[in-house]
Amino acid sequence: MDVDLKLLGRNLAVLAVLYLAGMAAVFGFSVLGVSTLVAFPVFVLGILVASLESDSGFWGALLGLCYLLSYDLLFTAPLYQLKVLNRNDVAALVIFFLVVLIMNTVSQRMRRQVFIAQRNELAMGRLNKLSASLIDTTSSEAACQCAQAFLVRVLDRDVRIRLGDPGADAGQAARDCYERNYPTGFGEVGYRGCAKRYLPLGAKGEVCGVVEIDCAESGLDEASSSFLSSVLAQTMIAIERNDLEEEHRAKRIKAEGEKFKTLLLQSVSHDLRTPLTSIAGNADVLLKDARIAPETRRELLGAIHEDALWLNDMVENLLSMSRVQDEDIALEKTPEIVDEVIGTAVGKMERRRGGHRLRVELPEDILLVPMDGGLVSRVLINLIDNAIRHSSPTSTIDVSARKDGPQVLFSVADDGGGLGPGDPACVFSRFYAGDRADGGRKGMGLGLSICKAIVEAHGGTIRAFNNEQGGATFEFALPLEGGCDDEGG
Amino acid sequence: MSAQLKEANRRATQAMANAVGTSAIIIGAVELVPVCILVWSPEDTRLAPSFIFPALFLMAAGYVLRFAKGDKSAGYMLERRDAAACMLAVWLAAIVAYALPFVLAHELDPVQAVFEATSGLTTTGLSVMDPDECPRMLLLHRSLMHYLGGVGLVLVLTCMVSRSGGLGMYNVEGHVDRLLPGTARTARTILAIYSGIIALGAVAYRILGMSAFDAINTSISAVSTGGFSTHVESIAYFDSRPVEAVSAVLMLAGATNFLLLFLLLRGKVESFAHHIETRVLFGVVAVASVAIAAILVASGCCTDAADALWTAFFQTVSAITSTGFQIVPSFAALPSGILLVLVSLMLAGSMAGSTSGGIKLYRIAVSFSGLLWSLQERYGTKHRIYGRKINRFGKRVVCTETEVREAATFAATYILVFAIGSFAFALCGASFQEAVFDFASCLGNAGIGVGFLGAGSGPVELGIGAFGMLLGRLEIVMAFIGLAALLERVKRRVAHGR
Repeated sequence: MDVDLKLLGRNLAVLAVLYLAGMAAVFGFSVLGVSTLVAFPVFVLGILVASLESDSGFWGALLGLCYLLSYDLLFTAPLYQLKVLNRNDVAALVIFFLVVLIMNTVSQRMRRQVFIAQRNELAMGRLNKLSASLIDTTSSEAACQCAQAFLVRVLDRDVRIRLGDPGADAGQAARDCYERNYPTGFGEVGYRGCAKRYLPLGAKGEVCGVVEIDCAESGLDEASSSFLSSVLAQTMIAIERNDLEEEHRAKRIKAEGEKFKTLLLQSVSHDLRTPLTSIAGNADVLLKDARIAPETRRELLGAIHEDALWLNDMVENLLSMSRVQDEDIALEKTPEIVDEVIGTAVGKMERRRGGHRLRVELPEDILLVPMDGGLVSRVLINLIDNAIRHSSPTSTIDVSARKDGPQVLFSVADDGGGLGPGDPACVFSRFYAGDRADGGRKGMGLGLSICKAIVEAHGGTIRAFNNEQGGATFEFALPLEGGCDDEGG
Repeated sequence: MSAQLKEANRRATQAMANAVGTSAIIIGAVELVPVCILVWSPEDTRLAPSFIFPALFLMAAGYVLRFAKGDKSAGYMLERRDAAACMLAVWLAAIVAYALPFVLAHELDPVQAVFEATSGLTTTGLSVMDPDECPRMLLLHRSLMHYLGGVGLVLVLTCMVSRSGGLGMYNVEGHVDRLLPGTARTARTILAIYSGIIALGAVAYRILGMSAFDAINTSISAVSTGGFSTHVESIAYFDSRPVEAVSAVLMLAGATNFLLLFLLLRGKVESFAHHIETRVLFGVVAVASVAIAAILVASGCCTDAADALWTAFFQTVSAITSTGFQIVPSFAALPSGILLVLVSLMLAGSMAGSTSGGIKLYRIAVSFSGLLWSLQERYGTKHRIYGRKINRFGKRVVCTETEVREAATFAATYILVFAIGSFAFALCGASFQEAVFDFASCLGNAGIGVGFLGAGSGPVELGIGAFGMLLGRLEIVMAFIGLAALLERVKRRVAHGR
């Protein structure tokens, strides 16, 4: 209402100014002695401006009428009467009236076209913006979200885009729209009283969702409707593209998984056979010969025990690997005390250290880190095991943890040998077993890659480098914060 | 030029075209007002076309400018340079359009007409016409120019158009005080106060026996601190102390900051009385009146001391408010001591944010305080801390170093321009006294003269005088910034061949 009054005021002001200007001009001409017929072009100009500047043709016509009456009263004989005596004047008045009508129509049409052109320009700009943001989306849901937010902003009303079957509780109109692939709800025959309009979202005769538009306050005008359909077409293209991309990605992951499984099977079967053969052989000897000296017996049992432990370790690793690899299972992170995790790992490795020295350096404060405790101690076990197996037999192994900014830094360092030449990062790749075979049992090369997978699943980083003591250091960092809902796989 | 810059430039051009076009339409419409006098004096009918056609032409030109550049500039705030360019363009357009009626009515030649229009719009009041011979329509036209120019063209425009770039232009024209939230409301309040005082003044004059026409014109001239009079003898024509007293009050009202008037209307007399400019204004008026009266008596021009004091008071007020009314027969005959005092008063001007011209007392007060502070700092005792506060609108406000520097710079620039202009007058053949006095009168928009500028002056002198008036009214710096921006735009246009 406020706006209307403003508009009315503006129209009246424009009209008043034009009327006064026109009459002043005619008066000026009459004083100068120029024929009063010059007045008509002036009036025409005035009306042209009036119809350009006011919002409807009514004002132009009103101005024309005012001009006409004033002219008749003030400038044609007889003065101050509405009668017209002169034939010239009659003809001029009639022609003037026709010109006014035509011009009014023409200029109104021009105004409307200018308005439409401006609106189209605006719509084009908006569509461009939308397609730019749709390109950035990666999933069909994101594309729908993007288009939905855009429509809410531009149409200034509630809009919802729902992918898939709207379901039984969505109302008859939405279901009809989804099932029959045509617009339903507000404004359609048979949906009286429905405040929302439903449009099918789909292409090539297939429906993949329903667009719900709130029409409670006002319906959609023609321009909005056509704008809406172009937006929906854009959205549909983005959805299809994102779907295709997703499918492609899924296929690729599946193929990778298959490849990995085959490799794993080959490697596992090969590596399991060695300790099993050894166990079987040793057990065989023990079974067949009852007169074995106690020392030999103990030795054989020890070997069996060691092999069994090794196997157990390996199976443990495989299980961990499958847990981390399986994307469907989220990590269960709970706050764990760093000391305890290190304690568990070192306790397990204490029995196997042989001639190595294990030195533990714990943080001064009690640090709580959100993690899957079992998996992280597996990382430490693997790293220590790695150090035992790959460093010189009497090396010292340092296990330490400390707080470093927003994360906790764990490190396992030895002083015997160090990493071989080449990129330190590739020690973490799958099935990489170091060159420096020391005659001991060779691993499958799975341990370190499992470490990497576990650390990364926790949102941390791992690296390896040669230290100043002439050995290798493995260091991994876990974030202190990061909640328990971080990426799970 | 990058696309973004181009777009910004395009928008600025649009906003400028819109602002100037709208202004032209309104200025043109206002120019039609003098035609209304035909109701009372039909003998001026032959003059009507010389008002109607320039006005209509200006309106049409303004409309075409608006129309050609589109109207999508709503909400765009002009940069200061562009705003200054617009303001200058509006003033120039107004000067040309308001000069045309004089030419078309065969009263003046073009240069004289431009001088007269500039004098009117800048509220200077120097005239090349004989008001006693002049048709009433033209007299009303002159007063109308005072009315518009006194409060500021852009301010009048801002009252009517609250959007469309007027905002930027408003500040550039020198209106800095905010009475109320919102520029348009402030502008309307100022215009209402201004028009109200004029109406009161007209009523007072009418009661004192003036004709209605004289009363209205003289009141406008006094409050806008313009100085055009309907009679060649100026206020002396009425030969009445009460009329002179009313004129003095109106001039002082016009020379008072609108914000102070607003405070006064709200009953805050204390704020008014303690404001630094009030004290300076009334102090200077008192001192100068006494000094001039003393010289008058001493030189034997005036025998009666009371008479001398009254004349001295009236002329002091007329000069310091930059009005230019006079009750002495001629300034040329006065002792040069008086002329020197008057020159200083004209250059000083009155309060900032009023209708008066000159350097403005606020700047003078600030730069003198700054001078005092720097002397105290240098030579005063080190064991004391000196306050750096001045009273503005009843509040003691800290005066920053920047403010002092700006005020001093302005005063220096002003004096420099004054020197150059006086020199130019001297080159045209004026005596030292004439050159200094008349250029001070032009630059300070005062309008009293010792006779160098008048109906008999050549086009060069009139041109220099008009330029000086415009510089003084637009406060020099903004005029030059606007000119530079305007020339740059024109040059770019020419270079692009558009």
